[in-house]
Amino acid sequence: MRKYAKIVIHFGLLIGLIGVWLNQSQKTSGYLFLELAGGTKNFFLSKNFQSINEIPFSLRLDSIRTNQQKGFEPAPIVWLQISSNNQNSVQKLTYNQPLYHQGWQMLLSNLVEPGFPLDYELSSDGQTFSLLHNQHLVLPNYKKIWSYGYDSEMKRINLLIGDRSEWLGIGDTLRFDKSEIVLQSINFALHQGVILLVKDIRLRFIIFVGFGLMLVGLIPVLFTKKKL
Amino acid sequence: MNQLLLLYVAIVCYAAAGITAAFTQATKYQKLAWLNMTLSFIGIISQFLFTIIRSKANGFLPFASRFEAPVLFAFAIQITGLIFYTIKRYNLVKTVTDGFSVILIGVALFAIGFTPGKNLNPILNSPFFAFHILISFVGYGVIITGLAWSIVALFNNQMSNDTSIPRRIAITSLLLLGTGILIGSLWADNSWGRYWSWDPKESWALFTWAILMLYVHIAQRSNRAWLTVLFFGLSTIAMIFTFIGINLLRLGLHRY
Repeated sequence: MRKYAKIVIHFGLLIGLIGVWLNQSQKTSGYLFLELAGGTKNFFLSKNFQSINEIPFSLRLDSIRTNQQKGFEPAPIVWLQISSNNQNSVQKLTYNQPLYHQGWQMLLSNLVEPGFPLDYELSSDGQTFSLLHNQHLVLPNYKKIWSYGYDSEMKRINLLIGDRSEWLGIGDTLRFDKSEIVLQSINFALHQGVILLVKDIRLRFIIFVGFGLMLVGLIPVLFTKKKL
Repeated sequence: MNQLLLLYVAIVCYAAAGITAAFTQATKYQKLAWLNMTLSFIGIISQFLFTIIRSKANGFLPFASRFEAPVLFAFAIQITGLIFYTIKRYNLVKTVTDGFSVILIGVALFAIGFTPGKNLNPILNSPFFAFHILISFVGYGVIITGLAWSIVALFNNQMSNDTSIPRRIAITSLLLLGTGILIGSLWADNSWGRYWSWDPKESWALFTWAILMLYVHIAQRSNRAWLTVLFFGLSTIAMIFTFIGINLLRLGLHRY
């Protein structure tokens, strides 16, 4: 019995660690913008903004309401229509209550009003990049570039590279480390909408099964006086 | 019924139980053990009633504020101490666990001060909340019981020869803390989309767990009494930092 317990504990630990590794190395996540007047979407922008990934179902923003909790600021509730295999269902999504569907997780990241700067198009050394508002990306020279401010009066954005912070209008150039970054365009939201964080969590269960198994293995050890 | 009155009943019962256990140890008059257990039981019932009344007043389980956490901790220590005393009649161990319960309720009542329940942060309104907190606190209570046992055993050869006890206490704690961490991780995954974020409280909870796991491995080869004190002492320090230090230093998202 003790021998089996020992095997189960260490096997569980191994499974859990493999689960962590798989989830870290195979993770797919990114952003999806849905507008109230928009159609359905079955793809999202990867977290590094370099690729488009597909999801096995379609999402459409049905409606946005607010949830009032006593003593707290109202939180948005988003109703999403999910279409898969010719079946439609409308499901709720709010802060800290993600939506799960077919092994995918959708988190509410941001509520977007008309005129909200959704993303910027930047060019650097002949290459063009997309950068979402209030997000960051890693440039080919491994420098991180952050966007975290928008001045609606001057129509310019604030970019942070290293410890340098610069305001850039459309067509302006930012020079650093022998490189140049030019702000090409800013895309604004036309309608009210939401930005979702989409994650593939199909392998997540392995972690919980592994570590759960490890804990289960500890139970018989409790009832024995002898060492393992 | 008044919430404060119930806590006063509990603290008096735990103090009396501790004194009774010390007296039983000194006089070897074992019949007092029943009085000790009865006093502990009355204290536990008082705290249970406190929990129910405060839950009704708050609208949620009272495990969320600075005042409520030490009260719950005292409750967990008392339950684990009483269960351990029912299995093994070590009066001094019971004295120490009773002492910890008295100190914790004392801290809540006289250092932090009674505060009525506030509005619950909507994120805490989850079925995971009660299980995560309760199981973790009972696990902490078991660590305190282990520390009490190891300190007393340092001066008692007969106790220190019984090597299975500290190991089984450590495994009980590992099981409870591990379950608490796992439930917390499931909760985080369900609410934030991340099962682990290296938040200071998470990291220190894992560190406490790792110390106990290291002890269980070392205890396979050596059963020296000072090693038991060392490891339960270290895990208690790590646990106290998890419990209090994070709040005092205002670190991470788990502070309250």
